[in-house]
Amino acid sequence: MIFNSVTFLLFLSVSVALYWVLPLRPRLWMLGIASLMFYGFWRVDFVALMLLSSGVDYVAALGISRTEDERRRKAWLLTSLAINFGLLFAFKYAGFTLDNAANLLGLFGIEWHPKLDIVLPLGISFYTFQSVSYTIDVYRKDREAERDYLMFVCFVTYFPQLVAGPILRASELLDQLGTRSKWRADEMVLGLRRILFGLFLKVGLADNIAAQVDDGFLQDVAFMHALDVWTLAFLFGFQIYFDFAGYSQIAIGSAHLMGIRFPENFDFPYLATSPREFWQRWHISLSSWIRDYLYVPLSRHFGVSAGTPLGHSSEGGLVGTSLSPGATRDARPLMLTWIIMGFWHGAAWTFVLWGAYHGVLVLAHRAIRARKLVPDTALGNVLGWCVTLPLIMLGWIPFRAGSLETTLVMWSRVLNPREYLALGLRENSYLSAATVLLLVTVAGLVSGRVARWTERPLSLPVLTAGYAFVIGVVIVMLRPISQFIYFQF
Amino acid sequence: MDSYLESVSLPRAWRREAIAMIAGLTIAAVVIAHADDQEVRFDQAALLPHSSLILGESPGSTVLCGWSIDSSKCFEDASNRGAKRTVLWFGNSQVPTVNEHKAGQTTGVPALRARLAAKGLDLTVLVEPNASLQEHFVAYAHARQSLPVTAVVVSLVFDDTRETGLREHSSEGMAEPDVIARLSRHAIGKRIVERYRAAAAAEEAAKKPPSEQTLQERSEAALTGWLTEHSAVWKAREQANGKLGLALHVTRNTIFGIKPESKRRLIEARYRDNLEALEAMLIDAKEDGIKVLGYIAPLRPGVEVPYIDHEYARFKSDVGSLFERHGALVENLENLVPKADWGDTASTTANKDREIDFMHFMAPGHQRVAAALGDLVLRSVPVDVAVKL
Repeated sequence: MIFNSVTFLLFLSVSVALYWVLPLRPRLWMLGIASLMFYGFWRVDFVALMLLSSGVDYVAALGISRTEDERRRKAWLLTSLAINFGLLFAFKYAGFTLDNAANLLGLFGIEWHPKLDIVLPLGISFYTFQSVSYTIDVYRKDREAERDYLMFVCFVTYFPQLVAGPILRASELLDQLGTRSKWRADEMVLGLRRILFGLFLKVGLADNIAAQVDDGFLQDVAFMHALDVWTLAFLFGFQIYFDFAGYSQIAIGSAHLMGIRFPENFDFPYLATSPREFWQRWHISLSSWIRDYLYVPLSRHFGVSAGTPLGHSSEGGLVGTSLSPGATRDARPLMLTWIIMGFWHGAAWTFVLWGAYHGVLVLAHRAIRARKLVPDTALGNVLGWCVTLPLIMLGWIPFRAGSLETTLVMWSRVLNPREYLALGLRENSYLSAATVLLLVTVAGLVSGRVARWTERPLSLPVLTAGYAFVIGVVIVMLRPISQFIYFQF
Repeated sequence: MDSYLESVSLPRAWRREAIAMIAGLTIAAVVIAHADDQEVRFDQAALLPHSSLILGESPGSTVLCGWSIDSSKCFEDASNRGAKRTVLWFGNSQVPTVNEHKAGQTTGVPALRARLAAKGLDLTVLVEPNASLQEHFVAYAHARQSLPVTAVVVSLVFDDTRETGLREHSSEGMAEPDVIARLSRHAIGKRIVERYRAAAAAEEAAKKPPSEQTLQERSEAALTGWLTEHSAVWKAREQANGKLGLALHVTRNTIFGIKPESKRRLIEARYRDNLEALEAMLIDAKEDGIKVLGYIAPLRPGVEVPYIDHEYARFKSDVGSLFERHGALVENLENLVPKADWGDTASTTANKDREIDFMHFMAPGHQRVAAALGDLVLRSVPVDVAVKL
């Protein structure tokens, strides 16, 4: 089911009403059924796949918890990982692998045209990570195995975060699901506020920017110049931010309506003053997952200090930035992490390039910090922001361009001073990019003050005018034909 | 998590917020519901109330149609009146719009129609506001399925080369296999079809038969259908959306000082695609023995043109060379309509009521264009002479 649809708003209203009138056990049944319905509105046949994935982790975790024999525990864990990542590979990466194998064979003159028509199950990357993290947590003895399968299914399939996160840990959701919280009016208001704001970001901003982005990337790259590339990079950067942050707001708001709290997934990422900080502010739940289940273990495997302890929540983002000589010298765990991070986003070399690009940015930042090349002052922060933001935005090019060749051509334009003398897009594109950049920057800078304001009683007319505007835009522009970008991952 | 809980705790005055939310919803609903009160034709939004976009111009039978609005009516009427040799005229909003329209005035279409009819030629005019040459090419391929085309007249406007592809509403004929086949004979046609299909994929999904739709698509169609039928707010969404877009347009123009005289740049990629589409039309028509006649559209004299001089000169030169290369005729009518025959347009900024109009002229101007095109058609149909600009 798509959040930006009338169907979802009706579905959510009914689910929330039932949630609060039912006792705990029937409530869990309702949540489980509602979540499967939510998924089934897209494809009923893939509901079974999701149940298989969660069933494997349920059984594996129980198996792990019932023995102290390390070999058997590891065997259960590996079984879970093999089945979950096997399914992920089969659905997401098999086509990519075969295509590349065919290309490789082509180099030796062997013609092979494999045809795989596989539909990528919605949200498979998200629920696989969430489900697997639970099994690993049980293996690490960070938590007890859940014995109630219904509860566990609700944890994996909980509909507000099922198809695009936030990716939650068992400790963050299971316990809340098992508690009969008390209905609170302020939670309802807060939930509605976040849903409205999320819908506004999606249908009012992301979808409108999308038209200009689509138009720009359709253009023949041969006639694209440096400022066009910058403009498209910024526009797409804003589009994907509003789109995904909007989705996350709706997810968080929907959970709030049921008294369930999710951690934040975004925190003004484009105000980051370094690549490291960006990954503490962008898609925080994924960054934290990657930190705890990939980066830290990989660092230990390579004998390098990750510079951060293992975390137990989806907060904090990817903060492994040890300044120890080993961490700077040994880039293997970091680059491997980033390449896998890129590959998680999509089965294409462009995503691998995107991951590697961010890996290089983080490494470069480590080197700069280790040498104290930028002062840790307000001026240093401004300088950091001025460098970080354009670099992050340029990184979106492979995410959107569709091919490595197009990406490299577009990047090369930016590096050529002569390409700054011509323009190839409609004037509106430049104006939109500049306007949104200004608004996002101002919004980020004043956000602290706004938060302080909201702790005091606000003027009713101002609040009413704000809601009238946001609700008006949402009603007028709500169109379910535009899916969220992260659904494809 | 504790710090998170603190950060999300609501202001103590949450009741105030709930009231604001309900009041905001009410205000938004009332405003949207009233968006329908004064219906705006967004294709005419930049015209003064006394300027008119005249479609279906008769007498007797429809010859002037909006390609995306009522082209099927034009095709049907041409068939009913037994058209055997059709002259097909493509243009943007300049063709059907009479600035400062007075009762009884017409565009040049009736006069041209009468003049051609006397020589055994039938006239059909298909117009589309801000039409790109790619859209003209698709309209040409579409019209070819229904009309016995002898000659094609194309209005050539620099502004239109800044547009590209097919707009959502300008896709008449794209469902017809013969139209797709004709377009796909040319590289630019293939690109137009690909782009159209990519853009229309989501729309097409919504038009799938219910048996092929997902539960989401079916439920959404049912719910929005019900809302449109039973809710004045939902019904008025389209008008409200258009008015919101118009308000943003006005805001943009006001803030950035954009006005009719502002210079419009040549956009290289779009320009090349449009000229390629024009050439595809020339080639396609030539293969079938159809004459293509082009004219550089009239431009308001006495004021600085809203284009960069060397780019506008390049446009005229490129178009001339293209027509010459394919043995087709093109005339430069940019100075045909005198200053006195041009009017104003509704301002698209917040600080003025009117602005000068570079695109739409008054009725006498239309008669001049009709006379010039009559000469062009009658001169070219029997002979094939290329004229340099």
